[in-house]
Amino acid sequence: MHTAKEKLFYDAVVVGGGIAGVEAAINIGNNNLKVLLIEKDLTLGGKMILLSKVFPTLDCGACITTPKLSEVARHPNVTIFTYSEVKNINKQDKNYFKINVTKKARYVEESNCTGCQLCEDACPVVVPDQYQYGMVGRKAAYIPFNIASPRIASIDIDSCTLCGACEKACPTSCIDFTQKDEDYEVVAKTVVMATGFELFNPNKIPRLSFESKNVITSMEMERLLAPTRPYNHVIRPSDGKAPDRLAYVLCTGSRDLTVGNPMCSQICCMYSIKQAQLLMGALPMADVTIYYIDIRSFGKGFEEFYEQAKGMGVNFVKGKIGKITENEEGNLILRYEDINTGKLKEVEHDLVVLSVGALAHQEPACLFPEGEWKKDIYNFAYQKDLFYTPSLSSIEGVFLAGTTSGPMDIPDAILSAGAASMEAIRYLKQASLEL
Amino acid sequence: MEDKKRETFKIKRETHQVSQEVKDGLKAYNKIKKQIVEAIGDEELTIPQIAEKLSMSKPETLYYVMSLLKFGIVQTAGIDDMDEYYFYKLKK
Repeated sequence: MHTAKEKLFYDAVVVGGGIAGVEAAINIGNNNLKVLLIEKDLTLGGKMILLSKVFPTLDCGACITTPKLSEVARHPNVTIFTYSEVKNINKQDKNYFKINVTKKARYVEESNCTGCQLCEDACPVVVPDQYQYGMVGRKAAYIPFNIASPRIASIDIDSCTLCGACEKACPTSCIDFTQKDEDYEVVAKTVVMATGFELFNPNKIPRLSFESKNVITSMEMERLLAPTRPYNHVIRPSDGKAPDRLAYVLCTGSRDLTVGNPMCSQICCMYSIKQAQLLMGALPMADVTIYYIDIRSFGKGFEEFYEQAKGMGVNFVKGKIGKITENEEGNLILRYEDINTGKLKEVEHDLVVLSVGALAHQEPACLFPEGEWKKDIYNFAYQKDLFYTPSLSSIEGVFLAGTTSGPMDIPDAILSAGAASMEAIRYLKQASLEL
Repeated sequence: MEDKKRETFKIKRETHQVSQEVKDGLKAYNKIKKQIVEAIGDEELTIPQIAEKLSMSKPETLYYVMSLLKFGIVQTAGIDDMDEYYFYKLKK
């Protein structure tokens, strides 16, 4: 059910509310231009807000993200649509874009919700929590996590029994089951695409036994290490045991032609080293081994960070994993080729983390008329001039921020967002557009 | 006005069918929650011990115990002598 379409006018629309999209929206808004920031999820922050810490400084990820989210939330020139889906983006003529957006019903009046979580306490339904990768449950009436922005409840209507407990418990009467999806037609002079990246699905490599409970992805480990973690401690998902022999498998879904991704994801080596260091703190008696093809520590302070991990006792093995099998105790047998000796070896670990690569998001291509959104050979956004103007897309007036154009770490994503917003502002000023 | 607003779930019931899967899920959760609460009511247990007592798989037991921990019903009560498994008890 949808309400009638409403028409809105903005100077710029930013698609994607991760760290790059938020940065771009703030920059454009700071130049007295009206911005609409559209995020498909219930909260801003993208993948970054889910991280435990960031490399190579080991700063708290949430502590860096939340001030930016707070800044964008109270920016007078930025309007935020969360839980909203961009249906399509059409360039009408040289001067403006028409963007169809659906704001999905939260069944909660955003302006009245205080984030008290009384609805959550009252809700009797428990379903797997998608923000914790299903490792723990959440209620059908829920706030994604404590540092969600906006910190507003939402009703998962597909899991709701319509018992009314949340509505009765709400002290501000903001639960409203009569809400409907709202359609908007947004007219904007420029668009910044900050749609981010997707993580590789390890099920595409059956020999890595991702179906085993004790084989997890690096993003799941991020959650296990984060302050808003699903468990009370770092424990195995199979039986709650504190692991003492952990393994990281680098290049899972990266630099691998067999899964169609020959590109290095640029972040996996460093986030794995970061997690290994954090694990040495969380599990002081544990052995952490990183199986790698090459360690690519190319950024500022990265090599020192790598050396620091070695100094802390992280074991680095230059080896290519052939197969992972699970034994009766739930432990994992890693069969690998020791690249230095050329010999095949087998080692037992009790938790394996697959350092999954970054893939291009499929969403942008579907938003534009067929053929307009060009992609590079890796399916990321085509950059018109990689060296001089890396933020320019194949469509005039559409700019690229963050990992829309390729894998990069957080500082680079913020730099890219800065460049994209600067290009968007220049485009707006040069064209002197009139709607 | 307020009373009317507080019953919007009834209006939604007229157009939205709650699936059998959702109803079954709620029943299953309540049953398991009761079993876990009874199991650790008098003694502190690890995940494998709770799983054995409930004849449930260990991953499923962990999921429910951790959910109850998140909802403030269960709390951690130390670790075993081998530093392997945490004990869980009811939060009182």
